[in-house]
Amino acid sequence: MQYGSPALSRTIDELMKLPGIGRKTAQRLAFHLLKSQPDEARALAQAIIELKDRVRFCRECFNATEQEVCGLCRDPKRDPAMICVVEEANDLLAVERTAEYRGLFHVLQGHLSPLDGIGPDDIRVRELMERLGRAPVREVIVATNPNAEGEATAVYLTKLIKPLGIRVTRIARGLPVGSDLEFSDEVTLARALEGRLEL
Amino acid sequence: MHLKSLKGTGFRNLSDFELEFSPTKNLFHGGNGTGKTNLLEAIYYLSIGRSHREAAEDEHLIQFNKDLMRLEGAAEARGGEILVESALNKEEKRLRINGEPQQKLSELIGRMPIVSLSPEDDELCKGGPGNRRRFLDMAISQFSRTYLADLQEYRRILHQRNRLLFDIREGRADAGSLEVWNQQLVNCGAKIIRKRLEVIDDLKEMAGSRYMRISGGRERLGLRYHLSCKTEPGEGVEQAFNRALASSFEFEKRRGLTMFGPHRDDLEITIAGHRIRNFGSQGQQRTAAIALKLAEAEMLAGQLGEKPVILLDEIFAELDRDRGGFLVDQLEPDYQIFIATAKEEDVSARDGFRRFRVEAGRVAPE
Repeated sequence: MQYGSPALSRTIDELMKLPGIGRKTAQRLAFHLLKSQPDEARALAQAIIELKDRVRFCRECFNATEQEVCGLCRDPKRDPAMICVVEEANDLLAVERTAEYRGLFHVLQGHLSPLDGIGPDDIRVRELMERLGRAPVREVIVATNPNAEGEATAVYLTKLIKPLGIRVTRIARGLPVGSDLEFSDEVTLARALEGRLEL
Repeated sequence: MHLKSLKGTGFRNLSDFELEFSPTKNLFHGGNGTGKTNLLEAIYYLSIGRSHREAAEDEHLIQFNKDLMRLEGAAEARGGEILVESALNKEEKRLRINGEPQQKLSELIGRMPIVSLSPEDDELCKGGPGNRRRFLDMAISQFSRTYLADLQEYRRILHQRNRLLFDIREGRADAGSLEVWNQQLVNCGAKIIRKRLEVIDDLKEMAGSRYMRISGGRERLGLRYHLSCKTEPGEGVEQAFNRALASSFEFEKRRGLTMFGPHRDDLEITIAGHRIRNFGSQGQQRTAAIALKLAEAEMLAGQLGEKPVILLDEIFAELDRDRGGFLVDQLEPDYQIFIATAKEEDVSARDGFRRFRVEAGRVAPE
């Protein structure tokens, strides 16, 4: 599409490469930047450059960090014998927000998905296994997403880790807290029934 | 449940319409090609979110030369009044229920239960197993959201597994990684199979007695679920499924396809013990299809606690007069029915109907 300015169309094209951004949104963002104060656009550009220059993945857990090893992995108050495996760094943040979990993490940076050409070698499974070989770990909590790919990834990890004599657990699929049973949707309720616990 | 009104624009050949229906009997009549079936299709689309015609692509629903199709219907259902708005253009489908935009089209299924009987149902008995699986899936999905979610998940797993088989064949993936997908496929597939078995048990009784009543004969209609994997005596579904996958790895790898599971199973329909697909007469096949659809309606009514809407397309043309009348009598007065017919004598023979005349895409109450 012609925008009358190569710089403008280049910005739009670059913005469109971001997830969830289509042409319309990209145009809106580009025109917003065009109208904004010069500092604002520069600050954004600088932040993106620093993001790429400074941020890397933790050598241990593959969370985003500016150090070799991230703050979580270095925190002496965290229990190193417990590892919670998540798909993405976003999921790690979600678990951290609970403020209930005191162990360490491992970010797989993806899930098994043959349709996307992603097999075990394309996610951080080998690194997890090396980690488990290095340090004494008591329990691995698999917190991958409750969908086909997340479940397959969980099954795959269980098959690898169980033989090491380490306890492997899976987060429960359940009902939202504070909701009434009668108002919960049937599918969630059916899954919660499937995953019921002995009292 | 009953549909109170339907408003439409840009739907197939139909001119803009706004219709108020009778809660019991409605009749669309007019010559061939005037748009009667399209009206039934509009009602079906409003209830399910897609056409009941097998070959219909969504974009074919939009009138030639128009960019947009829109339907709006109000119904009296078990949960109270429900307003459904469905819109479709070349890019997207939009759905609102009671004014709320819905992200998932599957939210609609089961809110306005519906059963459609049309000449195309002959495929149920004559056609390939896909027709019968679709029948079962649609019947069950309308009362079980869990089943619908399982079906969607199963399809996803199946795609992943097929892709992996293909990659293994091409040497791009390791055969060891197939096992986790097998386990997913078996777990999810077994849930689907168990639900189908349960439903067939219900349907068997109802369809059997309907068949006898319609045919007036003594022949027995039988239904049996046919698994794509062979079971040994005393063996559970999971075991049989697992065994089939394990022993057919080479075969599946060559094909790059998953050859066992609910997506390959069949519903075997028999008359007096003989498979109707191979041995049934045309009359037997048609009567069996009607009996199955009526059983579906009865089952939905039992499961949901409300009667589904019934669409009858050219059903009089397909059965002789006595049987056609009998069919309607079986449904009266509890069900809301919509009949489309070209035969004037069928119309005059029946009273108590709210009639609509359809002519060259225009619909008008009489």
